[in-house]
Amino acid sequence: MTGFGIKLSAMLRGDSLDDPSRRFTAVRMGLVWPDGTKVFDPRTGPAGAAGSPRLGSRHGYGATGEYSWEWWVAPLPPQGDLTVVVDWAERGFGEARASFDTADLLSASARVISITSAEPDASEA
Amino acid sequence: MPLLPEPEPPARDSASRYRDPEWESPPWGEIPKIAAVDLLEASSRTAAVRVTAVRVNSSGCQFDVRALAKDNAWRLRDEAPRFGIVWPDATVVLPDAGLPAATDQPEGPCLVDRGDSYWLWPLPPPGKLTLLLDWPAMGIQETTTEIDTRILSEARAEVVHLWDDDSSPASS
Repeated sequence: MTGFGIKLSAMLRGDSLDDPSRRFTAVRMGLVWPDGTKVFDPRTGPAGAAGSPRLGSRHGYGATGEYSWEWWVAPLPPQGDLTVVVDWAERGFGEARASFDTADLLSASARVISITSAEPDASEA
Repeated sequence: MPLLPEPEPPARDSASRYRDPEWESPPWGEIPKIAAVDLLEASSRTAAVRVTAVRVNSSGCQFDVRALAKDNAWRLRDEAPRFGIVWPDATVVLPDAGLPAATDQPEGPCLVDRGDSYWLWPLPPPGKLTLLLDWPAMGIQETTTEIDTRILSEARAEVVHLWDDDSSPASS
């Protein structure tokens, strides 16, 4: 209801990440908001202005040859096209991008299950 | 002088590198195709669990399961949600039930608990597949949904095959 997660998965032929200490910065990801605002992970790009969309709380994990990264994006974008941009220079990937309509995100937010705002069970009273 | 022998360097050639048998985990070198999302969910006032996606590989498929509870100690108490499958021929397939020794190929379908997902092997034949989900520890009764296995076979055609082995590509 307050944002959305993006998960990026990578498979590496051969060995593990070139430098495991860089597992949070090797892959760069950014977004282009429907109004044209560019949103970067502050670890790998410029921080946005106060009040602008945020990309953060990043996790990176995996084993040899297969890795995943997750970002939390807030707030939910308005209606329009959202563009995801990824590059991985040390693996020879130039910038790749894909756009999608935010309608799916916005409709999914209506199906979020919230348990933290629910009333306590009678057994807890 | 050290008593223990010098450790051998890790294997670099794919022939000697261990890989799980295909009934235990997704195949190497493939990007799965998501066939469906938000397949099944159940909730109470204090917990919720959802099968968020099914990802199809060439030899099987993975069901992603997300669980959330107010009391997060269920992870410590081994009180996880339960997931199962009813095969098109009505066989009930439960996680890790009847898994043979690693080298023996099982006769029937297998469902392997991989923490936040379940690996189903092999892909089912044409028909209906029923998903089962409950969470007794949180008071969530069994709920089910049925999917047509055609969505899995159609997704299988869109699996991206990257490579047959995991040896490092030759540097140029």
